[in-house]
Amino acid sequence: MNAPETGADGTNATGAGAARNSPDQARLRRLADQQAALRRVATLVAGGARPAEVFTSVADELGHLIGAEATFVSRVDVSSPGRGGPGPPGSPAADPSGGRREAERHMTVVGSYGRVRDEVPIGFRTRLQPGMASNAAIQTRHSARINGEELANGPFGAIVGKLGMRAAIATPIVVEGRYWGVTVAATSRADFPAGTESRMADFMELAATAIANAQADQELRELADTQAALRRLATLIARGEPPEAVFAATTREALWHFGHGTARMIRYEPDGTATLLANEGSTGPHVRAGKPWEGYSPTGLTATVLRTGRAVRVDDYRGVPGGEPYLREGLRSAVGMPIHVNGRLWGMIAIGSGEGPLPPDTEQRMTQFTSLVATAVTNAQNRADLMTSRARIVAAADETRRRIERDLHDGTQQQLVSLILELRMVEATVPAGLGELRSKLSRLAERLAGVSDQVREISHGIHPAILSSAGLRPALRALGRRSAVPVDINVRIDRRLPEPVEVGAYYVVSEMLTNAAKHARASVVAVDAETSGGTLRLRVRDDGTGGASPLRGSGLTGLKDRIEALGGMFSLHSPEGGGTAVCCELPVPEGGQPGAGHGQ
Amino acid sequence: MRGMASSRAPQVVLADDDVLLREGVASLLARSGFEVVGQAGNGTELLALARSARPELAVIDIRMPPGHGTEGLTAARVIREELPGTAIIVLSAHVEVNEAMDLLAGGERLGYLLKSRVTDVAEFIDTVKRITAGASVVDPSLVQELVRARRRRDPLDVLSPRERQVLALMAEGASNAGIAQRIFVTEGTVEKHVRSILTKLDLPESETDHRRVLAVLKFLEAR
Repeated sequence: MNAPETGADGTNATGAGAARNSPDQARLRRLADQQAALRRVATLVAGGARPAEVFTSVADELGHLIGAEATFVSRVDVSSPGRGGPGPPGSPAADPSGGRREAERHMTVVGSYGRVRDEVPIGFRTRLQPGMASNAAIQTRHSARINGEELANGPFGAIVGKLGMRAAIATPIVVEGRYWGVTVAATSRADFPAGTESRMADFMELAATAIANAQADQELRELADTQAALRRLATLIARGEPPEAVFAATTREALWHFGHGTARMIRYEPDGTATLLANEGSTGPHVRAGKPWEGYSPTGLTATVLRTGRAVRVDDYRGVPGGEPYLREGLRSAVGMPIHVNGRLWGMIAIGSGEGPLPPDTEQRMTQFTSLVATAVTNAQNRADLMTSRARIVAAADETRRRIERDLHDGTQQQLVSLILELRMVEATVPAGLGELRSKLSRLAERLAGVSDQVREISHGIHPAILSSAGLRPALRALGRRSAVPVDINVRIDRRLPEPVEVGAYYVVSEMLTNAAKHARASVVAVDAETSGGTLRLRVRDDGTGGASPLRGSGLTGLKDRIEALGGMFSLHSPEGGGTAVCCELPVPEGGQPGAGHGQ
Repeated sequence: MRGMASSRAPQVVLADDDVLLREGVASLLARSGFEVVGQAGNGTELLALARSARPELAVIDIRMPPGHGTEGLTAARVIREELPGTAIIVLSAHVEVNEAMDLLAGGERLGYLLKSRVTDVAEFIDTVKRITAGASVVDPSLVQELVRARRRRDPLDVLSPRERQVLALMAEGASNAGIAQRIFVTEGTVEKHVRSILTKLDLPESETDHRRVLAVLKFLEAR
């Protein structure tokens, strides 16, 4: 560090003007040093340094200014009581006050100077307790000094002893009128010189501006980061990505923004079990996403959020009965946020840290993420409902067609054939002398036979019986044989597919053949159908005039609706003069029954 | 059973769930020299009936309860296996080539016809008699559908119009003599046509008419 050395006892160690040393000169020099130190800190802030760098720099400059061997800049936060165990080294059971506890103050070291990192690392967090200089400084709102026995026997006795410190001064840090934190300076000498408190306070008063700026920058950056993350997630949701993808992305962002070890999303099932939906982070359970999340502690986040429906935090798993598995996983603290969907507790996101308690505003900041997840889940549910209802409409229409076909086949057509037969009988009994009557009856029977043929054609058009009895391949080949335009059919399907899929594919081909013959003036149509990896791929293309548009109210519109209702994809390519091609992909369960009636 | 005295009327069982139509066909057959020995309303009843009556002929509706699918075809297969001497005619509202080939794979004395054929009484009785006498018959409308199907490179293009006509009749199950009668030529001329067709289409010579039907159907379906 390039800060000028200033003697702890107030004497100028640089030597040059020692002889003409006077209180005024010493004061002027100290002021100049302080100004230089503040300039350096301010320069760092202006350069966009991260707050951690700024805090370290403040600790560093302070140490040099007042001749301390160790300095700490700590953030102080107030946590409401009764939210799990407090931070180390205390434990909830050890809290002597019992009953209703007052709001607890914790301090978290955010910057330090001196060879102290082993004992007191950045992030070191502790509860403020009587006997600590920091506690006194925060309580009195003035600098506080502790030395000698009082320091050695205080809450930090062990650490102080290890570091060889004998005196400490703590000064509150006030940023923008609020108690932001505390700074502590320690020395291995017997004590700091008199007046060190005010020099510390002077410096920290000015350094607070730099801290405020650094923090404002950081908050802005975090806000921007958070907003960007929320935007990314919202985009995923708006695009209708599958919920699994949204869950994974949200959990990843939650870990990135709030966690320090792990982030998990868990869904509560109606039967009381829980499912792990996503897991991010270096530590993790041996449970795969989508699998049951079992054996969690009844005092842990999963159980507590389920029980209370509220945000839950654990500040130290060491203070939580049943917290051992989380400690083994390397976690120290965690926050669990409930996710409510349509007024019902749907699940939760938990983030965990290997360090001390998570910042107090974690819950509030995570709310935006949980509401996005709720939106994604609601959207997915609505979409699923919509899909189901579309599929139901298509199925109902198919069922109606099948019923009409059956009524025509088993009713109308049979009756017609019976009638004709009866007519033929009557015809046969007509006496030989009544030739004219006989031929009239015969003509009547023939006309009725014509009607019967028509009914057969109509019923076949409504629902081809062969599709139900023998499947897609024979049905498509039959369709091809009846087509006015030559059809090349290539079907590689070795099993029966779900009926709605077979019917959907059949209508696509049927409609395309009609279109090819009626409008496209095509000379050939190619039909390719195959199943692979749980998908039926159907391609129908002709070499006709093209220019078919689903918007022009052709039968193609209905096809698109039908295929999409089955969760499939339908695309039409029909440039003017360039033929018409339709590609469909339909999800089909893998395996299924082996093909029936494919004896060819 | 084919060797039985022709003086006795051939015994028939009928299966159709439409009673009115079944009775109509029964009376038609009875008036045409058959003895209707039993009627059934579904496949199970039919099998029981066929096993006890051991008839010369079974006329079966393809679509029956409980599934209204191809129960008649299934029953026909069982009858063919258990009672190979029984001629079988399957009637269907729609004729489909895969069903025809499925049935005809069972051997000779099998017929696959549109149900409405029964209304053309004289021709229907003639067909029934041909089948009981040993022929295999496929409904002409199915053969027409197969022959008329348009193909981009049609192997049938090598045939003359007359040969096409002969091919269709072969597919319907007509014998050479039958074909000769239908197109007013001598049996010798038909034989020449048949040989030419088999050569042009690269089809094997078949020993029996029913095998010929199957071979031609297969060819037409696959072209």
